[in-house]
Amino acid sequence: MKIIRLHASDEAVIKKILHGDSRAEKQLYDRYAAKMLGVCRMYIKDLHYAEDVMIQGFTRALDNLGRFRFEGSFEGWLRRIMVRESIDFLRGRTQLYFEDIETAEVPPVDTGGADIDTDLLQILIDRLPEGYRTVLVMFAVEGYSHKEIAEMLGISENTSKSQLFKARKQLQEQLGSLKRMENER
Amino acid sequence: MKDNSNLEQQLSDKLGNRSIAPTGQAWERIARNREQGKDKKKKKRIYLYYAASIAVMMLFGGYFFATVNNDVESGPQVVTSKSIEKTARAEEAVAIPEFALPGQKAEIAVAHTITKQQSDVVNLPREEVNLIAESYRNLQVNESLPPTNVAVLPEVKTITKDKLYDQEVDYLLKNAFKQVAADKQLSKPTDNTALLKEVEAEMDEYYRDKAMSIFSLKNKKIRFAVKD
Repeated sequence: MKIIRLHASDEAVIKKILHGDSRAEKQLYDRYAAKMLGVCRMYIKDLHYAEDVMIQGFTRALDNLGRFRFEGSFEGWLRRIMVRESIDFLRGRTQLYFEDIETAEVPPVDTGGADIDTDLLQILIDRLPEGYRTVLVMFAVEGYSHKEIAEMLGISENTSKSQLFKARKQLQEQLGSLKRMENER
Repeated sequence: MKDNSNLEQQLSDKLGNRSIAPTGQAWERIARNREQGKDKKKKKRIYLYYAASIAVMMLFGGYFFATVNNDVESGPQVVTSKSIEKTARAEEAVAIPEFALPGQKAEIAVAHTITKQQSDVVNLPREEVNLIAESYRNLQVNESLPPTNVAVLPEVKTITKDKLYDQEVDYLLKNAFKQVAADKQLSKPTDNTALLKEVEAEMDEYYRDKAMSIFSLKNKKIRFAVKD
């Protein structure tokens, strides 16, 4: 009985690409493009711009595929490229502004057990200023430490912490107003 | 049961793993970008090849130029009496016409040697000049030549013992003047441009004399040929 492998591993696909197989490039794109667009969308409000950034990131990743050492997951490597591309895009449009504020420990926002819809979550973080949103997403979603965030954004660790503090505060306020609106109904 | 109380946890779970389908043209744009990137790389490589080849050519050119320049002695040449003799002998061999009689050949040779030494002696040190002058004194040009040859060569017969002395005195005087001038210049502060000019002037004089001697010898040769 002949076994047809439908889903080749990332490593196999990458090796094919490195040997000049353009169909493998498309295969890799089909596998990760949607996920990477989701990543870019978290940082960039406009979906069209987010797609532009994803395209740019994918092109860069394919151009530098030879540098991938197969030490971690390919998805993680690609995701990192997308985050960097998103930050560069925001920087290029001078949308990224970080203000220094007094740092205070603010615990993560409590939703009161409510399961918030994905679209609503997106709306909530879209309302945040670029600087707050970037730090929040990098910290909460990507799992970067304040040190890593500071290095990637070219800011101090304290600034990163203060941005997160502000983001949490604003999110809490937004959730509070949402609850009030629901109660009024 | 999953805890939904943490908003950041919900963000991570829901937005972190969210997929958004890109538009149909996205892949085409990536492919186009890749092609453009490859073209740029090719162009860059071609430019690099060109630059490298130009650099190699310039290197070889420079090396060739340096070796050619080394072959041509640019500095002042050290002239010794031996080298003068050698050069004179070599020029004699070229200058004496084959159709001349043995006696004529000897006269031409002597005349040429005298002319040559007269032109060269200007740049020689005093000791050398004295040596050459001494050798002139010992020459018995007129006595060694048969009378028939003297009749054939009127230009050569003019070289008499007295004339030789006169020429010798002239060159010694000339040399003394030069020495005095050089001594005077030594007391002056050194100036690169002046020194360079002086050297150039000396070289010009030397080459002019040399050219004149060759020219006069050629002229004589033509005269002999016309007479014959």
